[in-house]
Formats: sequence, structure tokens, C-alpha cells
Amino acid sequence: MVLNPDDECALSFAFKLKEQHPESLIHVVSMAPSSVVPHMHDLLRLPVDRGTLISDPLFAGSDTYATSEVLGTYLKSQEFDVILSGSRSLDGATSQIPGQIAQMLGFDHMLDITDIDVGRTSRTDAVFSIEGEKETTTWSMQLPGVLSLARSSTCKLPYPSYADLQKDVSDKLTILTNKELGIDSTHIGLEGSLTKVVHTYEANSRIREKTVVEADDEGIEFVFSYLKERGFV
Amino acid sequence: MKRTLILGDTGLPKRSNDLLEVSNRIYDGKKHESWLLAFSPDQENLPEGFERIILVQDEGNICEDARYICAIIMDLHSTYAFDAILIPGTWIGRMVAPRLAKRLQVGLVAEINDVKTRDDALEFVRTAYSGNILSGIAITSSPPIILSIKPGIFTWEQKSGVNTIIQNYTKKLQSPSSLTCLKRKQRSVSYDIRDSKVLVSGGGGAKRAYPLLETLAKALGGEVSVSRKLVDQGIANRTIQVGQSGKIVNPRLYIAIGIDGAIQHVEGLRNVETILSVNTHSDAPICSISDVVVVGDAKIFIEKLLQRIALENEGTIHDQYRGESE
Repeated sequence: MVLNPDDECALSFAFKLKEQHPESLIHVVSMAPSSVVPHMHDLLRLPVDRGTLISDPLFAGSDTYATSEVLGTYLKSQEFDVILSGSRSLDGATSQIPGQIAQMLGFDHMLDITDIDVGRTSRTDAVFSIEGEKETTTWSMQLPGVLSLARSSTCKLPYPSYADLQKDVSDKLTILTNKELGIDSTHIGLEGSLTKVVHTYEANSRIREKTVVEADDEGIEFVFSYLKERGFV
Repeated sequence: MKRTLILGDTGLPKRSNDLLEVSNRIYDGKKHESWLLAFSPDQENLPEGFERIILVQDEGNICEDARYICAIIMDLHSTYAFDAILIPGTWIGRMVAPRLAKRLQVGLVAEINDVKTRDDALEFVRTAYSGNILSGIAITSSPPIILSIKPGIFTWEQKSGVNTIIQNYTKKLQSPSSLTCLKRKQRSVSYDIRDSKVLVSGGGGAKRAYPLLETLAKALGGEVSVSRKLVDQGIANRTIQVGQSGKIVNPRLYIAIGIDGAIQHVEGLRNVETILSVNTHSDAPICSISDVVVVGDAKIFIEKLLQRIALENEGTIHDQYRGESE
């Protein structure tokens, strides 16, 4: 199990914000099976103040709609200035959850953020930039809001100190089930999902019909047509 | 009659009609209407093939304001009741689609790359598990169908002319959004090969042709990357290196020029759609994972291909949208 590099960026910016505003608290929230408890403990050995794991077999099979329903319901009950998240998950990479949570909470949301200007970010406003394909844009947004980070090589989490490696952090972790959240069971899990995987196909892309040509006029013509058919020229 | 609303692609407005193909596939070629929501300031830039184009005069940053766009779509939907709403999987589209689906309380399949019909039921296909598996997904909520579409997958071809009604959207909605764009800076040299849609990549065999790689990359709307050999020789910067000690890339097209294809390099190419390799040896490892292998000298290949591309562009009106990566 690894931490999604996008999420790693979100957490590393949380640490930068905490350095700038030492009074701030970092709360890590995850919806996952209980098998991630050791990973939550690893995060809680870093400068994270508290962790919440939302975990219930009733949530199994939730699609993005049902997942954002669970996370959004929990977050509505919490107080915070900003929600930091990754832009894309490692597996499905649909980018749906942060936007849907923002919708549920009535917040603004921005995707693919590459940098947060921690010096200009306060409890009421965030300043951040996005490296697009053609331009880099800098934005301001009123808080509370949802900022989704995109992975970048400069986002590295610190290592826990040697002394902290064995530290018992279980008192910082709260595990919640639907008993505490009290969401209507028709809104969660498979029943609450509005999409359903009905078929899977293997994406075995490496078996290819290979065409071999020479770098002569005929070969170049073949390459040109090949590229043109696919819209590259 | 079924009615589809397509959100225009603000980056490539003329290509917005590629999403018409998705609508055709949903309605299996049966007669239906497709409408476009566009933010283009000039009417000459509007794409063909739509029954109606709803034109929003974008004075501020509406086309970059997901909540404003959602508000407009909700307003239109309350009047025109669309059966499907298709959103391009662009940066802004990826913010609009989830919000809209939540507001309308419907399921969303994101960044689809295929539409299938199985036992009379629609199935939307997207990649899952880091691209190793494709999932066919059904939407179980009632209409509208909301999808976001992976850019550059579908292409639409005009079969018969359509009379387009252009309707100006004059309502001034109050955007709930608090976003302000403070600064825009054109990016000059810095690009991230992980974002590239086309990569022209050079290895040890492309040393002599290295300056030409950029010319070819430009002609194909892409960027230059390299194998470790050119980095170790100090010819290229490590930021553009592909492979295990470099970056994992996923362009649609990867042209490997003078690259042997050591396992560490190939490791960075797992998600590449099309690989074209140029090598003096047809038995180089890279050739076994290529779609097209050109046997020959790197410099000669690039020069000849550039000449052929130049010939194509000569005397024809170069459609600049074709040349840009999506």
C-alpha cells in the first residue's frame, strides 16, 4: 500500500501551512477498509494532529457518488478552514470526489494546483498557482474551500524521527462507522451507487501488430500517413 | 426527440464537435439533437454539426469558473430537459462534471474512451487500475446521462450539413464562486513530459540529430524527451528523462529515436498509446514493443519526415487546431 503522490503533495502543503501558521491543526480523513490503520498510524507519526478513518463494511462497493456522500456528510459535521486533497486517485483517477464534496459543502474547488503560496494564504483566503499546458495561472479563493493538489517532484513528506517510529499514536486516530454517521443505508455502498461496473476488459496494450519500414521515401510516406490518420499532423 | 447538451472545449473550440460522435454512439445513430454550450467570443470560431449553439459572452473568467458553468447548465436544463450532458475531460470539464452530477443527483462516468451497447443497455468504458484494466460501466440513475470524455479519443466526421441556430445566452447569473485570477504567465521552456501528448524521444543513436528532435516535436505538437544515455553524456537535462530513474510518461504518441529500449527505459512507457521507433537495428529491444519500426538513420528519418510534413502544409490552409495537443 502506498500513499497516492497527489495526496502526498496535499499533506506536504499542509505541513508548509502549519510551519507558517503554527497554531493550525492538521486532520487527516480517509474512507477505507480497516486494513489501512497501520498506514494511518504512519501518517500520525508525522506532524499530523488527528486522524479519522471512516470504515464500515456497509460502505463496500460505493462508487464515487456514494463515496462523496459519506465523506461530505462527515465533513459537514467538522470545522476547518481548508480541505486539501489530491487531484487524482492512483487507481481510477476520476477526480470526482473533491468536486462533489465541494458541491455538497457549497464551497469553491480548484483542481491540479501545483503550488500554494503559504505566505499569502490566510484563514480566509488562499493563493495558489496551476501550471497548465500553456500558461501558469495564479488564483485567489475565499476559504473555506477545497484545494486539490497535483503531484510534483518537490512534494516530499518528512521522515518521522527515530524516536517517533515506535510511538503509540492510536489515541490520535478515531475510527467511525455508519452507526456514528447515520447515513440512510440506501445512499451508501452498492445500493447508494448510481454507476455499476458491469464488465471488465483486459487492457493488454503491449500486444501490437508491428509494421517494419525503411527510412526511405516509401517508409516515410507510410509513417506520415500513419501519423495523419491519428491526427498528429 | 432525444436532446444532448455538449459543453464546449474552451481550449480547442473548433474540436468541440468531436463529442458529437459520443452522442451518436449513445443514440446509436438514431435521430437526435445536439446542442453546444460555447464561450467563444467570435462566431467564426464555432464548430459545425450542432442543431443549436448557446453562446455565452464571456467577459470575465466564466469559462474557467466551474460553479458558474454549472449554474448556466442547470438553468438551461430546467428549460430544455436534456437527455444527455457531455463534458470534455479537460481541466475545467473535470471540475464541472462531478459538481453537475451531484447537483442533478445522477451517476457520472468520468473520462470515458468508448461507448458500447450490450443487451440493449449502454455501457461506458474507461480505464481503471492505473490503466491495466478497462471497465464497462452502466449508469443506474435516471436521465440525464452525464459523462466526461477523455480528450482526443473520439473524432466526428460530418456526413450531412446541419443548420445551426445560434442563441445568445443573455441572462446574467450571479456566480457563487469567489475565484479570482491574479496572474497569467505564458510558459516558455518548462514543460513536464508526464503531461505530454506527443513525445519525440532521443537516445544514444540520436546524439548527432539531437537539435532536430525539437523541430520534429514542434511539428507534431509535442515535446522532447530523452533516454538516460543523453543525460549521462550531458546533452540533455534529467527533467526530460524517461524511464525508471526518470519519469513514467503516458503520451498518445511516443517516437523513440535511436533508443535501444533497455528494460529501465521501457518501464517508463507502460501507458503509451502508440510507439514508433527509429533504429539502425531492427532487433533492438524497443522494436518488440513498437507499433511501427523504422529501420534507418535517425537524422535522415527526421529530415525526410519534416520535409513530408512541410509539403503537406504547403498550399493548404493550416488548421492550427489540428497541430495543437489537446
